Amino acid sequence: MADDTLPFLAPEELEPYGNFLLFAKTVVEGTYLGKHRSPREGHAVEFSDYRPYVPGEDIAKIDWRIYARTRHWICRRHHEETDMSVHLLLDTSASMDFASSGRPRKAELASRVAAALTYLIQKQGDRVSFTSFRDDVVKHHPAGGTRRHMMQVLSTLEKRKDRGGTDLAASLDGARGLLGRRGKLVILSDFWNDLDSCFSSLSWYLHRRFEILLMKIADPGERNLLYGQRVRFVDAEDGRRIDVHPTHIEKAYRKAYDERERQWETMAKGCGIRTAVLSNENPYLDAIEAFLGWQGT
Amino acid sequence: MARHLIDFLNPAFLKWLPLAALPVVFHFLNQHFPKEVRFPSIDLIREVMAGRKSWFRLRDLFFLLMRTLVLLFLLFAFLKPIWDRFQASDTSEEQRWVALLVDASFSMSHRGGVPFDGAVAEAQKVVDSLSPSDKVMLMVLHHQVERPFQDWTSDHLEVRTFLQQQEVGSGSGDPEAALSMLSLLEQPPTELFIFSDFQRSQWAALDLMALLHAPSVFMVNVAPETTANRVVQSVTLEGGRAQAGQSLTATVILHNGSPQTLEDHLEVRRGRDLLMRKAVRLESQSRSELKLELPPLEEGRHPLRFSLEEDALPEDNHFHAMVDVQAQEKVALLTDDPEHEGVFFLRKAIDPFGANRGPLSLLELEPAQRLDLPFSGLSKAVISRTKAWGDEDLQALGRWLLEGGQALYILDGEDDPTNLEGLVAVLNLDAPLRFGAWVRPEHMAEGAQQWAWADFESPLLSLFDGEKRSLLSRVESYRYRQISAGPNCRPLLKYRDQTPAMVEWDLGQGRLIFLNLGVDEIDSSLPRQALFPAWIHHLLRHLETQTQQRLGLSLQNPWRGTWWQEEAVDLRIELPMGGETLPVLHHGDRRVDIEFQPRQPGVHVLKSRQRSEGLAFNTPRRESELDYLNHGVLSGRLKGEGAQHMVKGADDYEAIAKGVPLLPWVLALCVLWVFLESLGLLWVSRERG
Repeated sequence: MADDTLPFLAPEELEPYGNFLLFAKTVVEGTYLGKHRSPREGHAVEFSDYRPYVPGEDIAKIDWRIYARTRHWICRRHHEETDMSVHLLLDTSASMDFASSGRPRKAELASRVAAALTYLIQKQGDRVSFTSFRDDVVKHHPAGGTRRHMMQVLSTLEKRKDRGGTDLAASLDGARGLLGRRGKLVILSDFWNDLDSCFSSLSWYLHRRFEILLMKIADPGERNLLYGQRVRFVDAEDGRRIDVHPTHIEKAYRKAYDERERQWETMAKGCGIRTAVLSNENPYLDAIEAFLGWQGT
Repeated sequence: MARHLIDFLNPAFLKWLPLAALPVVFHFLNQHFPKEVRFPSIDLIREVMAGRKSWFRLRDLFFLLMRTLVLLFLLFAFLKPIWDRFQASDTSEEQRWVALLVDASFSMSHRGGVPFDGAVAEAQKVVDSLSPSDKVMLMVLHHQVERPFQDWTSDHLEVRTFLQQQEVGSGSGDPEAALSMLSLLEQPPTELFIFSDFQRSQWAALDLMALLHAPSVFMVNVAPETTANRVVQSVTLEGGRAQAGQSLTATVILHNGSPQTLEDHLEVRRGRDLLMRKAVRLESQSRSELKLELPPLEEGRHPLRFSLEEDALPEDNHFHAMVDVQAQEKVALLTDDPEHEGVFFLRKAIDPFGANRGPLSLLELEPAQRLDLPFSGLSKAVISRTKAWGDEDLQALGRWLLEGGQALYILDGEDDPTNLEGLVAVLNLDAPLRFGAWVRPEHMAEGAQQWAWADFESPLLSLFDGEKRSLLSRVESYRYRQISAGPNCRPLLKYRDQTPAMVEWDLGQGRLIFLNLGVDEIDSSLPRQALFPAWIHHLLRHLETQTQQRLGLSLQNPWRGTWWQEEAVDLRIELPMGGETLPVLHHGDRRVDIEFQPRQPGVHVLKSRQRSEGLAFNTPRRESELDYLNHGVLSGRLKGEGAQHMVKGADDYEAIAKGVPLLPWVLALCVLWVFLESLGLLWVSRERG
């Protein structure tokens, strides 16, 4: 049962995922030691590797047991463990307020995914920041790891209004000064924007060694124009109109749609950015499974 | 009651016709009030739509048309349409006046009369389709147009019986005459059916205007599919005359109207005797002239048959000819002064051996016999020393000349200008000569005049070839007339003073040669010349205007001839296939005009107690040209008024009377249309992927 105070979150549904470390394999820079490995070598906790002693170093780093056996000065290397920051960017433009018949709105799916990730990250003791955007940043919650912080994010999700146009590039530029330390950048959007400018803006984050996840929120009705006879399509963001016989262009449109998606994935892959397509025809938990890379394992 | 091409048995459904506009209405409603869908971004849709709008519009219109037509077809099916294709009848109350024109000409006898049998069968079908009150007019195109019923008849049984008794003819029908008859009918036909093979030679130049008053003309084509035919078209005798003991040159025209080259033998038979056989080769669709040297024949009439191997139209593979071989040629002498020296010289020149023992047989006609000249069977005459003739004599002479008589007219009589003036008046022709005064020795410088110019290209002067031309200069004339030749004459000889000495005048089928000098010793030195008898013989032999004589007649027209009454007693005609028939005789005072219509090719013998004459008849050669008219052109020429159709027969006559129910066709069309639209949709859905 979903908690009444948490409209997008059903904690009991998330229980099976609570023991998994989110983004475990990535190196996250954090202020606090946590369950994630730090890129800086520390004094304790987890052995990493051996290396020769360099004269001038603190002799305390020498492993004297090895010296006793081999008469070589060898130092042990350790990983520091720390908590990580996950930055969630959520598209709240009008294009997200779309659902084909019988399916939840894309915005609803995006909110559920954002809430779930916030909860999981907070439960693991990591920090999460939340930023909503349209043609610029709309709302920002700095990174936090408390339950109070999580409740603020969830409240923002509940009150979100999907309207106006999207400018992902401008929003990413605007978020640079808000996100602070590097970590995981998760963007939840339908990515109907200009891809070139989008990836151009992401290059700053890549340069700062952010690990980026692009989660595309899609509705099958966007790909398959199953609207019967003549239809007047009205652009949700700018109100432009076009009269179309969907049956006439269905095949060509689907081909163009797939080509655009393939282009999106190719550009992302070229930049070392991970992508995932979350469809509102599947349960949002499946989307998280796909995100975590569980599928097929 | 107005007639429509298509009538409906269930016209109440016509009020539902606006339903057919439903697809159009839906189309326009859909255009103007489409379903609105808020879509995340239309950029990709716009990109896809770019450049395809016009194609989509066309496709929309195509499907709109298909759907509208499906509805129309369905509605049409409910209306139960009847196709009154020929608009020939009102299917119910109106009485039909049906004229049937059956071609029974020779070309319809192809392959033993298959086209004609087909025509009769089709005509019977039309009669069968009539209701008892409908009227029929039957016309059969034989040599003439036969109308067994002078007026419209409702006795369909009799019409059927008459049709069954008909046989294909050997002549050439005259459709124009039939159409003229139709146009003169008080009650014009409502439908005219023409059953024919529509030979180009018969129908191409036909004036079809007479048909325009008929509201519906149905041309029932019964032409055979194969048109190959070979023909012996004509045989003519060179020189125009056959003389006993002399070889004959016949010109045979062959026609190969088949797509294959003709390699055959042309046989010439007299009765059963084979006279000669010659190999012939003729390219396809061509005509060739063949010269045959026939062996000498004895005096008398010889029926000859020139034959090729028989084909599907066998009668025209034979040409029947009647060759009249004469031992002597008769020449009449017309004079009013038989005792004159000049006449004596002429008589001696024509019959130099006496007792008609030469090649020319002299026949002196008494003045009273001149009236019989047209019926004498004579073709040549010499006129000299005549006095003024009466009108009847001149009329007889004129008729004889017009019908082919040829005469040598010696201008040595005082009354020649009067006679010639009278002849011209009788014949209503322009005067050939203008006469002046006599030219006598006192008017001549040397007391005599010589010929100074001659037209040696004329066959009449061909005797004076080469050195023999000098013989003409030896002739001196001491008295001649001052004459000038009219524009319708041709001078052949001239004196030094340019006065014509010999003038040629063709009139009708005959010819007059004027010789402007006397043949006695006072008038000229001609009688003393050695060339005199030879030249007179030469002139008489070459008087013929026709150098070729056609040896056979056509079945096309009735034969007409005139005999003496005593010759025509018990006259009958023996037919080539056996049997006899009687000709139509028109009795005059002393003569009998004979007329009969030959119906079979071959030699017909006119036989009476005193006289026997053979006539060879052949099928009309234009009927042998199995070249059929483009039927579309023929019916197209009738467009404008009424309705004309080229029909194949079979069930069409039933359709003419009742109309063709179109329901099965309309339903089939519906199914086809739905199938087509389904195909279109399938294609579109495949394109959608």
